Amino acid sequence: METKKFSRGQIFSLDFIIAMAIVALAIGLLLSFYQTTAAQEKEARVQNELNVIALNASNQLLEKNRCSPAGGFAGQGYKLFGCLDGSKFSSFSTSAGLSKGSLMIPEGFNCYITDMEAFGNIQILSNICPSDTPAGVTDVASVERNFVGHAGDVTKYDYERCVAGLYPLDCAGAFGQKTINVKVWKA
Amino acid sequence: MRKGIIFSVDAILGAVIVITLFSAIMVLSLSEPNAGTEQAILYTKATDRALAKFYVHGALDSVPTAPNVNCNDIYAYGDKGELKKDATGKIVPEARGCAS
Repeated sequence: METKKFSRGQIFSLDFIIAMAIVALAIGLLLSFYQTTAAQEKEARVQNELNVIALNASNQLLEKNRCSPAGGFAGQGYKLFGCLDGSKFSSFSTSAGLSKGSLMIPEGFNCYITDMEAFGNIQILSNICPSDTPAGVTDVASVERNFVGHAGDVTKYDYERCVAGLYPLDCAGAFGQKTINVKVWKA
Repeated sequence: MRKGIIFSVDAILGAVIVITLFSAIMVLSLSEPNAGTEQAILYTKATDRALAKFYVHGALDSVPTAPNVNCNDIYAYGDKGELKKDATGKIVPEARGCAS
């Protein structure tokens, strides 16, 4: 007598059903992973853009107001990186043409800049960066920059004695340590 | 099944596909899309601190009179005027000179 291969009423084999369930699970897993990855990449792109703008703005702020060597010292090839001239900054911050573009912050982005150590976390450049991050904004880039401040041009005497630790009283008298914080977010 | 065969070719192929799939997912999960910018920020902060320390805390012990050079062998004149090896692998001011 011939053996029956299939039971009556059975359309799919048990193997086929299990295989289909595994395939459905795998597709679901892949789609879920794709969605998560796409969302993460989008968020990373936004954050990267904000980080770059904040970093660039802080660079502009420090470089445009960099200390200059005084007198004959200027002709000897010294560049005083990491030193901000307070006198230059005063002129820069009150100049007529000052805008967010001066710090290379594009239209559509807002900023908030604070001086964290010199005067106890006070706002600076409020004419171009008027208000702090509003509540509800989640994508914010914040870059903290350390530098030394000096009022006016730096003489070679001050520079050499300070870097050699030989300044008469305290080097902080000639070069005060300061910190600014630049926050950028999309408007 | 023949003797000595534990898994069929189909099973091994299936296992390889599953392992490859999960490996790819793991590798993609490990990638950090923000790494470049974060590295740039860290680099900038480190540079800032180094510069501030240079100005304020006295990065140098003293202002050197001449640039230093790294000598492999240093020679010195002895009591009778003969040249003899004084030290090896020592950093000395350039003005003193070194044989090699």
